[in-house]
Amino acid sequence: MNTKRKLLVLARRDHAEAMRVAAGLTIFGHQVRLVFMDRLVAETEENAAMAELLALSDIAPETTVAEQTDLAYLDAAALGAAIAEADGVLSL
Amino acid sequence: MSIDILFHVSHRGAGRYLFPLIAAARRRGASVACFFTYDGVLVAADPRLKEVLGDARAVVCEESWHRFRPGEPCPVEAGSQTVNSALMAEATRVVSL
Repeated sequence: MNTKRKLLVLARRDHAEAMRVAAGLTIFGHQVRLVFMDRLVAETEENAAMAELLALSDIAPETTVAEQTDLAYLDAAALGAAIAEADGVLSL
Repeated sequence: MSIDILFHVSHRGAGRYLFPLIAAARRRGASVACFFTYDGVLVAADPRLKEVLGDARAVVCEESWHRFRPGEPCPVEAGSQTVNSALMAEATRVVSL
């Protein structure tokens, strides 16, 4: 079996690692959503590099952090819907 | 080969859940595989893993292994996030630990 999945990556502990994993998951054609949680994404070189990787992977990250105004915001209901729609949820 | 359950391990403390879950799945005849990334790779270094895995596949993200266990030999198959993506395609269910 070789199936393209709808995957949701929750970026909690390490945003850069979550971005790396999310981008990698697209390699086999999976549809990947990435949601930053817990805090603002830090402006670091590592995060900037991984953000470029996301762009190359056609992933538009979202956030549950209201202060992160440059990204689409998911409230609790929207996050719940995203989880319900996903074939797999990865928490990093 | 299809995989009934893929365990995606990204936390160093996940072993306490992973090992009994693998054992339970195998008792029920379910096929399992594991992918370790971030500091979850430290779980792959636990000698109990091979005992519970049997012939199931376990892959460690090579980049994470080098980050958290620099200079040490990897005890299971070393791979990349490409392998992770491939495993997702083969798995019926994914459990994130």
